[in-house]
Amino acid sequence: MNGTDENPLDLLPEVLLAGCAVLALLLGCWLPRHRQWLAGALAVTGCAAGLVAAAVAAAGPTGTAFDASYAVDPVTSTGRIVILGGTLLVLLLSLTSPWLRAAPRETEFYVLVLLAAVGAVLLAGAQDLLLLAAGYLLASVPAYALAGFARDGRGTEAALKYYVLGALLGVLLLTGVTVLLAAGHGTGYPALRRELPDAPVGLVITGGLGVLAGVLFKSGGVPAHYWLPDAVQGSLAPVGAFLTTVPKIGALAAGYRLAAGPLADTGRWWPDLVAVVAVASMTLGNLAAFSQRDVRRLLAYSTISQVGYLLLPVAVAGRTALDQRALLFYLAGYAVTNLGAFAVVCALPRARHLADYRGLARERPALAVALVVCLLGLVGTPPTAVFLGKLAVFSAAFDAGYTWLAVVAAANTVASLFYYLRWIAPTVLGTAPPGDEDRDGDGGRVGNGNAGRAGADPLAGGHATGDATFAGGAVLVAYPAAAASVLLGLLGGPVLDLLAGPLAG
Amino acid sequence: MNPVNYLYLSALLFTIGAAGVLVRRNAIIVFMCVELMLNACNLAFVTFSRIHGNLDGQIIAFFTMVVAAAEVVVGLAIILMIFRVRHSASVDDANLMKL
Amino acid sequence: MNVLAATTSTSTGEAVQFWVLGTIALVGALCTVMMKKAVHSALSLAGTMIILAVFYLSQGAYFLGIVQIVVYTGAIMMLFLFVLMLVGVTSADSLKETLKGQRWLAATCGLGFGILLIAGIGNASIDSYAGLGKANADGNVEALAALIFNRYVWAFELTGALLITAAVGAMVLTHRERITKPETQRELSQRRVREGKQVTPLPAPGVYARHNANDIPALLPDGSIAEVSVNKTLRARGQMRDVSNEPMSNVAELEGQAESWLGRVTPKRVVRQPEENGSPESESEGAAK
Repeated sequence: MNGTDENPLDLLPEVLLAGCAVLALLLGCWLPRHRQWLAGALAVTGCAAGLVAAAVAAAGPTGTAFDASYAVDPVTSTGRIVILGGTLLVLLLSLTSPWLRAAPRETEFYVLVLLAAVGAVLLAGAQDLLLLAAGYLLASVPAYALAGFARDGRGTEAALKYYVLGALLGVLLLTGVTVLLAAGHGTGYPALRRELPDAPVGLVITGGLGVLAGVLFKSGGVPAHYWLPDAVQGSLAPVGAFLTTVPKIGALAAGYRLAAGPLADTGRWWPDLVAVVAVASMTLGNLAAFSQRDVRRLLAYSTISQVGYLLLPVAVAGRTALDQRALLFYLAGYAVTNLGAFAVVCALPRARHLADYRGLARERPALAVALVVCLLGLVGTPPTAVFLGKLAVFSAAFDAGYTWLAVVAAANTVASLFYYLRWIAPTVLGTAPPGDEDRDGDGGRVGNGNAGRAGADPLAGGHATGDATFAGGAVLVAYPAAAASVLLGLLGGPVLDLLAGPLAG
Repeated sequence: MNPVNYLYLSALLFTIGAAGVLVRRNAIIVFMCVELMLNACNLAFVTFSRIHGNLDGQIIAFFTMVVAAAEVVVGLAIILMIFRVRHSASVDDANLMKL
Repeated sequence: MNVLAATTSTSTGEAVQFWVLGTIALVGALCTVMMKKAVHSALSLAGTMIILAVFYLSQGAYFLGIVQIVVYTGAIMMLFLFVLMLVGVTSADSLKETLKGQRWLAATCGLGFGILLIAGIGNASIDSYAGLGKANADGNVEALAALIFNRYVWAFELTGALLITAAVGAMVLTHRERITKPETQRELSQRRVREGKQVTPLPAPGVYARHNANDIPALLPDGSIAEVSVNKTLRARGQMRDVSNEPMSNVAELEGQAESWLGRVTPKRVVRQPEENGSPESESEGAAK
């Protein structure tokens, strides 16, 4: 029982995150209201330290920790780096958000973000069904609280929907774990991999379905995506950025680990099923995004369709040599690009609709460039990281014999260009006349969302009031994220090679 | 009697809970039904632990209990919050944003 | 529970216990789903959980059996009851369907899923079981502890993090700071006048010289009841006792006499009538004719 791999230093990034969360909570108890940002600074430091530790661990050998229940391999390392990087960007967004800085519970926000990030990392590294379930909950519970953080009508509604769906699918995940335990006589992935091919196939499929439901909920894939648009629209913009990026990374890494490990030799049902889910996710996400006018809702649907592409390597896991690096590279590129787009949304807190972005290129050219780079990046335009990621993902699907899947995904990519262009066009081409009547079209629908900005130009700066139209700090995230998206695309080759490597266990 | 009967009972409880989640509109009762489903899972874990002759199932059930407690705390907090905002605990009344 | 390895059947005592308590557990679960009032649901669920605790104990999971009672019935269900108390009975929901046919669809889904599960269990054909005699040889708690603090110590620590999260999350969502000054009596009265709702104090319940109970509404001069005189909670529970029938019929009778005396028809009385106690409306109409 006393294994030799119980070295807490293997888990230094996770320990740093969790420790910083506790420290920040304690610190926040004694800090006066106006100095609560120190807790945020501590959280940022913790993330940065965790990043360094994760980078060091990534250079080290592959192995497992705690009786093979936790893997330290390229998937975990990349997951850690991307999750920590994403969390760092979200924390910077929050630290520069005027609303949050004035909120009475500022410290708690940072603490919850850190804890949710720990959960996401845990999902990525879990090599035991029990740890997977624990990670699911640790990633979910803080996220529910974050979704309702603003405590207004929309926030509470978002939190309720998120919670009800999350609790239900969490139980389904546990049921899946029960059934897999019954079929495989154990919870560790290595043991399951030995046992499951001989187990009754019905049991394995039922268990796999349950676990897949949990993974889909965390990643926002189609049958379990209902919470996502509401949670992103109803909660604060930094929370939206967090929810659409960080838990996804952990969940998809977990899905990949499951597919490449215990479920690898149990038949063709997994790739076929996940392929169908992937197609449904990308298609429905795109279809729903076409008609959106609220930018956050549009981004939410866009992430649903991105999950569709990201599920391709999960579907073909273990059937091609390209799957792992395709998934990891796409995840990194997606995280950076999506956070960049959200940073622009955070920078213009009162521009909630596509029409509000009219004339951004004239008023704030740099911000408009960042937005356009990120949006084109999400489409998958050549020099950006997502382009390379999509290429890798498509070739992985092609290589595994799922040509139709690659074709459908490519067609969806082309179709998605349309709604991103609906956002890019007014940004670049339009001018912003005062008293714009175009916005009246959706004025009635959004209700109280419009009340705050009646009569004011959402792009105009210079108001040094609490209800600022331009949160300047967010550009600190928007510009580097857009630059990183392009840079990652240019440096794609060497990075892709870094991401290959065998799974632990 | 074969311990498999415990599994049948667990399946029945799970089914009843699932139907309750789908049918009932009061958020508090929906949460209770989720708890019922969790309990059904726990019974299955404990029974599998007995059938397999190891304690893996019991460990998972133990973690499930702790974790469910944490989850339910946040869930009930959300209910209180939505009740303060809306004066209703019905999931149907949560309709500010279109689906 | 010192069962030999690979036994096929349990003791008769356990079988009897299973069939008796299992039935009660099922009934409790059904009541949880079907009871109209959330409090009743919560109590039924607590009963089911206690029975499950007994099942854990009889299956060799001694630690879990106790934890089940302490955590689930002791903590979680009490939390539910506290929230029910805070939210109040006014939020009792109706069982009416909002989507047509949704209930049948949901029930069918649930039933189908259940049949699938049961068929799956039957298909797995587990004939024998190992029993926990060996695993529990050094004591159930010790064996669990050995697993938790070796193999699963990482998950255990994270559960600690999860508990912190729950506490922080619940506080973030529900704790209210007093950031505004509480309204004075003067401000409250000014607001009442401004909103034009009930300017005077609410009428007291009870009917002078006949009833003074809290659940009996006061009568207005025309004989109808003043609903605001009864506590909101009693009204929501449907526990308002209405005694307005008698005076209402008296008034109607009096009016009927006056009409026949004067030889003309008075305009129909428009009064609010309680639904459950017959229909005094028709009585007054009948008297008018």
